Amino acid sequence: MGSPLKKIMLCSSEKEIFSVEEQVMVQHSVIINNMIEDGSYNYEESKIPLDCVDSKTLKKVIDYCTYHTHHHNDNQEDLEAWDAQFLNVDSNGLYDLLMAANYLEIRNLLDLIYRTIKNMIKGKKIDEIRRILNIKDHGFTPEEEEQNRKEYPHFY
Amino acid sequence: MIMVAKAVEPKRVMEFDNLPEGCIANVLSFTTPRDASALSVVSSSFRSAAQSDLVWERFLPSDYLSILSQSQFPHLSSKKDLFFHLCHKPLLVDSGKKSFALDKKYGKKCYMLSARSLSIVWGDSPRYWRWISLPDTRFSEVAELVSVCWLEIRGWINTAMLSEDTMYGAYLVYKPSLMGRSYGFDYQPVEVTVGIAGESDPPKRTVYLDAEKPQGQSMRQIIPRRSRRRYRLMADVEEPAPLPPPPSPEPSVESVPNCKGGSECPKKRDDGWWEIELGEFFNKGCEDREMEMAVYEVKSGDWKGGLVVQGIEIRSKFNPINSIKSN
Repeated sequence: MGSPLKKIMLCSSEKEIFSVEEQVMVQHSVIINNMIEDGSYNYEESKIPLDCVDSKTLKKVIDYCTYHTHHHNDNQEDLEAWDAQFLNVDSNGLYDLLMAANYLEIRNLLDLIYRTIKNMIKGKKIDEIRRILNIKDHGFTPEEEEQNRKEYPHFY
Repeated sequence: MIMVAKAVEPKRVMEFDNLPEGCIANVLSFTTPRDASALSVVSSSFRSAAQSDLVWERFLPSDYLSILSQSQFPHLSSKKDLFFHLCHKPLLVDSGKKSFALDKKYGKKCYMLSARSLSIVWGDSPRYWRWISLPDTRFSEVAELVSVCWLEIRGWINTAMLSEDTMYGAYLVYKPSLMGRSYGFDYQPVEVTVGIAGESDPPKRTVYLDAEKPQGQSMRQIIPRRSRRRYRLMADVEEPAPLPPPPSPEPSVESVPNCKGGSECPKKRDDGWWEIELGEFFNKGCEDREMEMAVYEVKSGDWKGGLVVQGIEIRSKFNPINSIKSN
């Protein structure tokens, strides 16, 4: 585990540098935890390049990890309310966060996003789900699509 | 080693279908078995994610390996196949005294307690109860009620064996015996309870077991009251049976069962047996409790018989509030 005083540097796709308490990232990101543990992070020189995470998304990810590090003793309801507010973003924002959390392996943030996506599509018809998730090509042949329609008529 | 993040360029237009398959599978694993299957028609990526072990492992109960280890079980290549196998083919556990299955909509654990695992008053006296084998049951033995005055059947299950945050119903599974139709139940309700073992006064309901007339047309008594009473007295002389209290007043026409398909009436099951609900309980899961389920008719003192009892089934019940919570 990292020392709470130490800072690490994260570098977004726009080459913007973010300085974060080491412990915040170590607690949440499996990838960063591994880097610190195996000693591959050099405190003097290293920046962790996150070429697939833009600055806006990285800032949100850091916000999430920081809040959950310092408020993990809050009651569940307050945390859930904060999470809901945190994920009040458009679909693009959600998608970017998911890609970032997946890349950094931030499991509690991933689960939160998965649940949010589940709620977005829950009880919806197939066309609406494809629209919400922006799925332009479902990848089925007409015959397969016909078969799907037969199998789940209530879905269409 | 410095980590080199060489992933795809960030897309400005998100397309969830381009997510790594593991992400789609994770979203699906937060749904329910039924929804995960249905969502496989969203796209070909969803379809392949919906087959994955990651999804179905999440739907299987966390202790499924230890449950499977109690029984001979065919090797199945995928967790999805395993899940549906457990939904459709109850697994005998506890040396064949119970069966285990999953509910296919939500993957909740369900059990049936065989008649042999129940406490049946007079169950050891062949004159009152017989133990027989039938082809259409999952257990090696079922209990045939020949004739009793004192009908009392109890079963117990520990809530730690069941799924958390789930509403359960308990059902007596039975049918008229092969020897002929049941008797003594057409006008006579029985009492049923479900409650925590050892706590007094669980909520009591009265229900009808007469499987042949679930619609309960106004039936006149088949045996005249007087001869019934004499029959009972003669039987009592031969062998002291658990003595019932004095007979209740003559049932009036109003007290004749008037089943309208509510929970006081038996329902035919897909497997050809009948079931009657004994009661329900919500299993929060934070404490393990012994639940007691009971069926009894000990007040009238009348003879009744002609039923075969397979067991008591404890299965999840879904009302809308309950299912919305599942995530």
